Amino acid sequence: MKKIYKLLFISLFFSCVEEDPVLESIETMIVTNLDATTKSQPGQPQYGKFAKFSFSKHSLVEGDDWDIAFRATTILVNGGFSGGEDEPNRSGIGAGYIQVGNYGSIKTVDESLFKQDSQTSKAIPTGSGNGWYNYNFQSHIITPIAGRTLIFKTHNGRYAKVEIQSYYKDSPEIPNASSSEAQYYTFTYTYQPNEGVLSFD
Amino acid sequence: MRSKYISKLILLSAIIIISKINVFSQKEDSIKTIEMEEVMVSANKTEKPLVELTVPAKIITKKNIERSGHSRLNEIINEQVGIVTVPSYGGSEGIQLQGIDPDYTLVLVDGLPVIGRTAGILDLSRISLSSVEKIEIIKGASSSLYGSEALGGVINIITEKDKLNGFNSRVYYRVGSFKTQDILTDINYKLNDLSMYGSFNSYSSDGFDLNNDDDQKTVEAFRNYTGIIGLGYKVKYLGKIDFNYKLFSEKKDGTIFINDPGIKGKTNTFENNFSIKYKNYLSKNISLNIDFYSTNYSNYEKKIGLNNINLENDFDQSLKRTDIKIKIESKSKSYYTIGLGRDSEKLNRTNILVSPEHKSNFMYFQHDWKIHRKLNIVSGIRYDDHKNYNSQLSPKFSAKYNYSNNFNIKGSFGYGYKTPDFRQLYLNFINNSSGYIVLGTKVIEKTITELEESNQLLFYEQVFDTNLLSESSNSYNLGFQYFISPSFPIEINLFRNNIFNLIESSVVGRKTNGQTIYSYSNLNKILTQGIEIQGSCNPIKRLSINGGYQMLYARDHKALKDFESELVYARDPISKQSFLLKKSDYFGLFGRSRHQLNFNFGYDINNNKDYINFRINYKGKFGLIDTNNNSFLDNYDRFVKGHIIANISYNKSIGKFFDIQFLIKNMLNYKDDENLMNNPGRVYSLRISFNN
Repeated sequence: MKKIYKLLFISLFFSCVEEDPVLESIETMIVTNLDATTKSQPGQPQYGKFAKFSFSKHSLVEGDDWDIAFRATTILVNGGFSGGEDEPNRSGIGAGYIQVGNYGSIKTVDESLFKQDSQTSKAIPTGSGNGWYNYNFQSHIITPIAGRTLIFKTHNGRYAKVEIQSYYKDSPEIPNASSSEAQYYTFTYTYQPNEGVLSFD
Repeated sequence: MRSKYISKLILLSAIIIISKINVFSQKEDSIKTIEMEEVMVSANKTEKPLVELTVPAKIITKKNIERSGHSRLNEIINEQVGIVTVPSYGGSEGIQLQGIDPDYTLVLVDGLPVIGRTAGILDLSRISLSSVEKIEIIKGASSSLYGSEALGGVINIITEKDKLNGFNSRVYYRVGSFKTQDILTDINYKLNDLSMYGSFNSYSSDGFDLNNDDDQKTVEAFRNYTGIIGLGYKVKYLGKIDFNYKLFSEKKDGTIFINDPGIKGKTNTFENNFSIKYKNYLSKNISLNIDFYSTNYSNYEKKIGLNNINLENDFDQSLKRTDIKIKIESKSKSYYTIGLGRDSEKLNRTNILVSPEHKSNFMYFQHDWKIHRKLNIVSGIRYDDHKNYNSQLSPKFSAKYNYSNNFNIKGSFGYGYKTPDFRQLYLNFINNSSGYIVLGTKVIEKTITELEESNQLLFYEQVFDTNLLSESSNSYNLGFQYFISPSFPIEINLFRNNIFNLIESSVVGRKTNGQTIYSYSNLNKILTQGIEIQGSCNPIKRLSINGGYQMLYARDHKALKDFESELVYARDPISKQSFLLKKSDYFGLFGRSRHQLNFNFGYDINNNKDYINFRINYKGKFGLIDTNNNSFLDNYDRFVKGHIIANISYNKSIGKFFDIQFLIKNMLNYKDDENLMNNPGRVYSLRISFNN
């Protein structure tokens, strides 16, 4: 199977490293063209496998140690209700919420805002304008809403923030509904690997 | 049904006739006609000279229409200050007044409403200009006189009446680009108290195509016919009665999506109007008007799409109105207008399971008071008693103060509303191909219960009241007029419309199979405000210049709040980084230009017979699509560029009876195929007419 994401750059933050060598460093990375394609038709019930992603491994995973999962516009967290159609098993304590603001200016996690997936709603709400994207009825384009940062708790209780940048293959400057390939995520994320640390600084 | 209507009329007229003979038999017949060129009826529902009106108003005269060379209502409307025609589905165009959407402007013909808003917009190209005497335009909410729909304003098309004795006839033939053909025959006969009128118009075009990659034309070929017959009779002591019948029929090629030239869709439109108008003076100071009106509009559409999906849409609406109006002139320069009436409206439509029928009674009262030599106050109120939604009380207050002979001020406040339409109440639409359901507020409970019982409902959130309220507006106008010289007036008008309870569709639930359920609710509040400047002058003999400018801010309340609360961001298309937008980055509502400019130059070569008329219409940039998809039109979206459309017409008389008119529309050939679908570029036409 073709490797579906590549690391573009890694920026390492060495804050606290001098004082407290036990802490692992925070990493910010970009994932491009994560394949979340599904064969189901728009508007019809969705089916097909979710692409499961792990922040700590910086890659797609097959097992239950995933943190977030993608299928078309739906994003799951590894925590909460299990049993949705074709949804992976949720064995973790993952959760998520959406915060408005510049990605860079979001420095800490607010534990009280976390929600898990339930039978009727998702931590990252689905539907145009409700969650991370807008669907434009005129151009039929899905666009990540600017200034929306997705904050996650991973399956094992670490934290990460994500900004989705494109839903189309190779992130075209102006996506075109007929020529651009949809359901390919490009996103930036910052992972705080240290347990109990709420800060992204 | 109609015979019942007529028998009612006969009965009523008989009562009037009898009472009349007994009480007023001494009175001479005196149907007044005010001998002024620009008299308006729409602003007060009774004749009043344009210069004396207390509300912002405008008249497009027969001369203006004739000189423009235009033949349909949408074309001439587009050249007026502060009025924009907005392209809609299938090449039709609606009116945007003071930045308010076409759904909210009432369109009347001789004071009676035009119906048939299949998608909210009335297609103005349905109305031929051939027998129009003048077009009256009132800006600002006028529900105090006209009830529902008169939220943005009123456009009243007045047809020709009261010609000279004898035969008058007119025949013309016009031919133009895209095989456009326009034929008119028009005959009038008047002998003292009897007048007869007949007109027949045929209008056809091959349409045009801006985008050659598909089988679909941008505007499909069509042919329509308009026939009008009128009969007026004036009897001493008994008053004047006018019968009018109009029929409109159109066939238009439909849209096909598949690559098979053998298959065609079609759209058939059919409209008929019948009215009886009775007018009499009960005494020197009291006049009576009775109108009976019955109209029907039907539209049948068949489209053929991919995988042989057949889309059929049927729309059949009818309206009956009775309106009785009494006007009393008191000694103290006060005019009272009292009216009452009844509307009954019906609709049959695809995806509406019931055939809803609405009946409403209304009454209105207006007091026009010349309180002082310099001050005129007009106030009014109307009550509409609606059975299916909230009843409405619509007030109006307006005043004009003549500071001096060359300076005056006028101000007005009006309330306007539009009742929820049948679609918003009764629609039961399931789109199986793209998987969503839209339910009107009157049918939602039943359908939701059915879905619940059959375990098809995942969730339903009844967040809104299922009683839809009418969409409403408070409109304010303040105007100043200054005459630099008697033929050189300048007018400035400031306007503001606070529109609330706008009805929008939103998600209310989801089915277990993933289909989203939408319904309607009163959600949005918008604000349109701006300034309008108009002037006219005759700098040299034979040359007349008219000009106007409008600056407009049309904004949504929630959007303003979101910008203020720093919730709105945009993304750099290259770096993909988000950045916060300032409040000043919010451009406003879609489809509105901030700046609009119109100029009209008329040059009279030979005594109104030979002339040149040249118009420049500038529309500033406006947004059609939220291209950066952050839900708002902001300065980082791509806009439709500001542009000029210039039209020129030249008329030459030949002999006593013939005229030749040459028209070039959009002579600069401005085009924007991607955004301006109703603009085919430069268009020529030639008209030969015979007038007797």
